[in-house]
Amino acid sequence: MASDSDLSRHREPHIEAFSDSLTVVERLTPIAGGAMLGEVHAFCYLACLLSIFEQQSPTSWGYEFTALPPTLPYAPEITEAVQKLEEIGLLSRKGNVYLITEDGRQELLLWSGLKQLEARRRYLDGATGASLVVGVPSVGNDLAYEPQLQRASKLKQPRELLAEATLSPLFEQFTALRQAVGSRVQDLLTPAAVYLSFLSTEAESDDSPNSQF
Amino acid sequence: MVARMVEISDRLYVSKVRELLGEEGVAGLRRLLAGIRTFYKWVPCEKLTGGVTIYVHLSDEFPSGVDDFTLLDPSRFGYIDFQQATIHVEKDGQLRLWPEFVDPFLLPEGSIGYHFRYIERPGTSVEHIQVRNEAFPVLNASGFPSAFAVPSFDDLGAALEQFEHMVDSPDPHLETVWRSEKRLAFLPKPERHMRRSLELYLRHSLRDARILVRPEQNVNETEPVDLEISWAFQGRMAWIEIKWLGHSGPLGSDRWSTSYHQGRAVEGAHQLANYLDSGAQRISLPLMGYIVVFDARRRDLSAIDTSISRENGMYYQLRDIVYPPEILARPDMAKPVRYFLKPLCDAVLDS
Repeated sequence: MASDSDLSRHREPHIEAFSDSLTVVERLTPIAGGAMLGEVHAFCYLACLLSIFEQQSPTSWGYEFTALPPTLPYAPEITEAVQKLEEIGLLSRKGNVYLITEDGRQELLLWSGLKQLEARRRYLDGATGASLVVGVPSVGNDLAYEPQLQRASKLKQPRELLAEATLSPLFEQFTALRQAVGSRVQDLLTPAAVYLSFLSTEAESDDSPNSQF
Repeated sequence: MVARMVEISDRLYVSKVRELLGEEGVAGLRRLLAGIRTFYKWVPCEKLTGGVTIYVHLSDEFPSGVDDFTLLDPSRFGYIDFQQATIHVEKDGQLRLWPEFVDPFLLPEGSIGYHFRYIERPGTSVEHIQVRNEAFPVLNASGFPSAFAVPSFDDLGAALEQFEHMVDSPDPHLETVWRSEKRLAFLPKPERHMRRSLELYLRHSLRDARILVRPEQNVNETEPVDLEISWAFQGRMAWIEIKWLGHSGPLGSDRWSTSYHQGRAVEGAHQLANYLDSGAQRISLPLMGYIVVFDARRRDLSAIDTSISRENGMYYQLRDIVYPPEILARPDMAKPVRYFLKPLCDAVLDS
């Protein structure tokens, strides 16, 4: 009988995680010279948030996020995907920064024809586009003040993110965001940039300690 | 919350571009922002004292009076010695250069323009996005002259080293710490502004790290560490302890409320060492401590002095703090960082 470790070796990462990771690295390469692993997680999480902004269910994203450590969004499928992409030569690594290879660009071009990935490209484009406005390092730090991550930080323990029962504060923010930018937005750069700017003001007004230790 | 979100949206040039030019405008804005960032990879923004206009046009028109733009590989920009320029970002992202400055108000209809000018004295800048006759400021909390020319670091030590170039530049937080524009001494409790300035700088420039402010949270319920930096995916953390040296006192007072000399920095290093020892018992991640000192020591300065000679003002510039060797030898303590904050000294008159 196969052991858990045998099974995990043979389980393929989700196609969504594969595609999302490759897309984020590709989009961030001209902006920031590639992406670090935590940045891939952060931008994929922001893209997922943008899908919720457009009133998609978090369960339709394809993989789940945890706050781990408390201020960071983390999805094991992303880490697996990035490692696998590097193994098979679609990503290369310079220090801690991942870069897309020529083979990776070709693969991304092939996946661009897949209907199941079409919708999420808009969300990824909106998320990575926000880094043109605020810079890559700011995105992760501003995102730490998203209510789900903030809640996990204050509880000082790893926590599943975007569970149905905890979404009210996020829904409230996105209702306000839709009123500010409109609900029929083609390029999600605008709501992404406004939302991150909003979160950075949350950071300024937050006086409570937020260290995990 | 709606009012706040609307107010934030109204302040952002991104929203204004969309409002005025629709989704086609946002697509153009993406191209413009990418072009701006490419340009600043090769050209230090501090050179641009004559101003730069970078623009996109939804139909690729050139401004009137401009004969021809030269298509240039971005890496070539680094070899050109210019203080002003106009750059057109083509639809394919390539950059065309006109070596004169075109006022963004003269750009053709259908343009989205970016204007930046560096003002050497006092080291500030003008930066805005322009659509038609409206200019929208680029909000910039990074401390760098341009929001689009912020260097990024994956090493905290390198980031802290670079911050030294920031402390003498105008900074909305560091500017508020002084009793006077001559930067002789601090107003009371300058440390929160120093912490804020360093925090914002690191948030905008340090990659893949979370910057957490810990002004109230105590490590061991005695004294706080100022900033906590965590790199969760690299499995490590850093604590930054900030100290200031010099004098502080309220405006108009004839005596200092607080004076700190070298001993304060050494005390801070000992405190940090103690925090690291107690932290190591609770935290499984490798932890590194950084003592960061904002040094505004002056020689022979009294609270009623309104000026200072160069000799006394710069006396401590090259006088590093002497830390105990056992502190420096700790493998979990980084090399101490000191920023000497220069005063505006009396001019030396030729005899």
